[in-house]
Amino acid sequence: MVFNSYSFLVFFAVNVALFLLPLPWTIKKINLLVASYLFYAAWNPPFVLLLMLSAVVDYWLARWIGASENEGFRKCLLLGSLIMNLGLQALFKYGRFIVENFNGVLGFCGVEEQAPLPDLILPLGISFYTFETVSYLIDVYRRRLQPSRSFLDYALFLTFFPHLVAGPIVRAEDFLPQCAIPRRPTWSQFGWGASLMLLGMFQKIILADLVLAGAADRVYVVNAPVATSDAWFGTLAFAGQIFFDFAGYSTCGIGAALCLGFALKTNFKFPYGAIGFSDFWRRWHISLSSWLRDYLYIPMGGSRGAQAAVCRNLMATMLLGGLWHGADWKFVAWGGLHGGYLLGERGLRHYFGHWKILEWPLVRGLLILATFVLVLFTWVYFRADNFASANRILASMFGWTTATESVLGSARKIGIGAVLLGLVLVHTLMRDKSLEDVAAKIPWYAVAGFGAILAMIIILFPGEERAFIYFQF
Amino acid sequence: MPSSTSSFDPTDTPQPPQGPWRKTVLLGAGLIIVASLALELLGRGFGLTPQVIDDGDLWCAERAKVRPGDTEQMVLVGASRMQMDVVPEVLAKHFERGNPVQLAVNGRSSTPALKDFAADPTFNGILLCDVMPGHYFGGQKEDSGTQATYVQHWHSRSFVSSIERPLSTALQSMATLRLLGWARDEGTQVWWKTGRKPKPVHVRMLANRSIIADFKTAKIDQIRALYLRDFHRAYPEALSEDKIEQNISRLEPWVKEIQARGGRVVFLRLPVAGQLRDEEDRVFPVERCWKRLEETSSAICINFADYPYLARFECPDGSHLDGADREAFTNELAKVLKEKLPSPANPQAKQIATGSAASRIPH
Repeated sequence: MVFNSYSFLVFFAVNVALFLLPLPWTIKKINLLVASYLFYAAWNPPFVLLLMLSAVVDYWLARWIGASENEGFRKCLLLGSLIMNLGLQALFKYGRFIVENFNGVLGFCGVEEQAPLPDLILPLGISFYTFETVSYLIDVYRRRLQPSRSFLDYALFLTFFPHLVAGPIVRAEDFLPQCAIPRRPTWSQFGWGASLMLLGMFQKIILADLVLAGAADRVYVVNAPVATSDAWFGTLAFAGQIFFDFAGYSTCGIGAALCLGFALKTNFKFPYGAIGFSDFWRRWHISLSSWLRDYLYIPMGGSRGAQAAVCRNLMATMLLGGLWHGADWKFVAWGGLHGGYLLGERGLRHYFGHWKILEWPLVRGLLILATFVLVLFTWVYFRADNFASANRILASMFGWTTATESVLGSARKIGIGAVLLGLVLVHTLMRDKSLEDVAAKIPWYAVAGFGAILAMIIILFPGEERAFIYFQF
Repeated sequence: MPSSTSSFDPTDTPQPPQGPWRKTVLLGAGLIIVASLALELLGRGFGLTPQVIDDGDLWCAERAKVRPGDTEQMVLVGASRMQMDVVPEVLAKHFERGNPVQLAVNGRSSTPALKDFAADPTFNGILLCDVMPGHYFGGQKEDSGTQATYVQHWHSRSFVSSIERPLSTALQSMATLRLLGWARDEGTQVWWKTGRKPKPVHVRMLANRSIIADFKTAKIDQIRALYLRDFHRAYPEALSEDKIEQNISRLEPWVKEIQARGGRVVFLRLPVAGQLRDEEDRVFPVERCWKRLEETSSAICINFADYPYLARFECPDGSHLDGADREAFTNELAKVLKEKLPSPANPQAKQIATGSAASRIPH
């Protein structure tokens, strides 16, 4: 079930109504849990069993890890749970990729036999709920978190529908305490939650799908050289599309949770206003980047130790972060580019970071622009169907193309340019602020009017139905 | 117990801005209701009527009505001619086996659906295929185009689409609101630019995927010119005999597969007129295309032009019947189908009908 659907509207309205009934807190949580399983089952019912299995096994493993004093036994349990969780993810998400590469190696070595390719359906959201449960188990193992004493709370943490299929990747330490206390949404929570949902749907339905997706598709499906202007505008369109698509989903999810009285952390903080790449990753998909930092980068040694070790840690984290996005080398290349940028930035900071000129507004603006343009190049690998296509688009961006005829019309280019210019400007101006700060300064009737305008645009311009890009991860 | 390595930061959790949110929510909801009603009234004032918007989910909702093992159920595939000329409810009255399932897709070749039904081991009903010469003899690919997308969607559909689609069909059948917002709608654009009241769209899709045309409100000359332009673009020159032969012969294995399970396939050429018919017949000559199909195919072939009581209907836009004629046309078509369709009681019906077609007229 996607947020931008009638079935979700009905589902959500029923859930809010049930949640507001004067029922015991445990019953309300059971209702939410059942609803979350229904939400998941709406896509492919049998995979609910996988989600349930994960909840049951990890709940008990965490309990045993928490209760045991035997360090070896605890380590074994943790290892077992990691193998199970990451193994399932590897099987469903990377099984085909691994076999394809294995076959490639066999072919390279002159072996004619090829292993059959597994044809498995990728369970929706497996990357998200696996990371949630893994972080919980590691925190319990590190004794930084007490294992939950309530299966209901733990299952709800893992399954809560607003974050289930495409994040934000919620931490148990943030969510479980909220399950302990009965929650009843206040008018401000409900109102702001509904506003965030409208904003998220507007980003997804209007900006991502209606305005930008078509142009990006048009340029990237062409199996031939494209004109330089098309390569730039197609990539700009995708940069906007993926932000509005994913940030739109996160905003909807955070809003839906807030309408029920639950607070989820912000997942995007105006990333196209970032100065440099470490800043970008503090603003883009924050719940993933902080997960990678806490459970991969720091355990590997983080920024401690020799420069070479730090570089290795950083690059490994970004390459694996890339692979998390999909079973394809192009995602690894995308992560590798970001890793390279981060290393480059680290070197530049070392030599030039103390320069006062970097604080000048004009220089900061130029740095934002430079960061954005460099991020654009990484999106080429993310969006293209394969390396050949990505390389062709990149070459076209630098003028190395034989194509002269543009597939995008002038009006479309102007539209993309206007939306992206507005996006980068808003992100630049808002980089040190929050939506909440801005909304607090607007008169209440203007907030109501703005919300109504967004709703009417969504109603009047339904656009095309497209799945959220991050569902595939 | 927050983790020391955690990114936990209370300021990352959105705190709702302070303000009179109760009033804000109520005013916002009120504005949405008032604006929606106003726009709905405006749309109705323009003469717009609610209509269903076709998509893969709607196609799948219809496809789900195909009953496995029902040898008498009729399934309609094709393009807009099938949607606009044939009334499933009227066919149902004649054949008394429930409403035929309407799976035609506007402007698209139905061969992907034919191929898919051939591959479906549970299907052994009556497949009525609207043979648009370009789609069948022009050799459009079975793996591309909207119809192919719908077929793929059927095989990968999610459980929720069976809930989502009835909800959107119900809303689309009630309100014109969404139509008004269609940026591509010519009438709406005229209204935005000039303030002139737009003409209602002359076609209306129903929940069963049939389309009703009211050509009284249509710009007939423009539509005819558009169809001709599209035809010339799609088929700039006549195809070689070999190519046509190849395109025809690809159909037979699918027909055989359906027949092997006890199903039946009817190839049906629906009315076309004027310049468009001339062009169709020029690029896909009847002798080389339709006649060849009749000769080589084990399916039942019905060409409207062979039956005066089918050929007498007018196509105002050159390609489709007016909504007022579709019932009468379907009644006549049902008679032909009854005569030609072999049934368990009359397995030789095709041969009998072909041999004694006194009513057929020569080209």
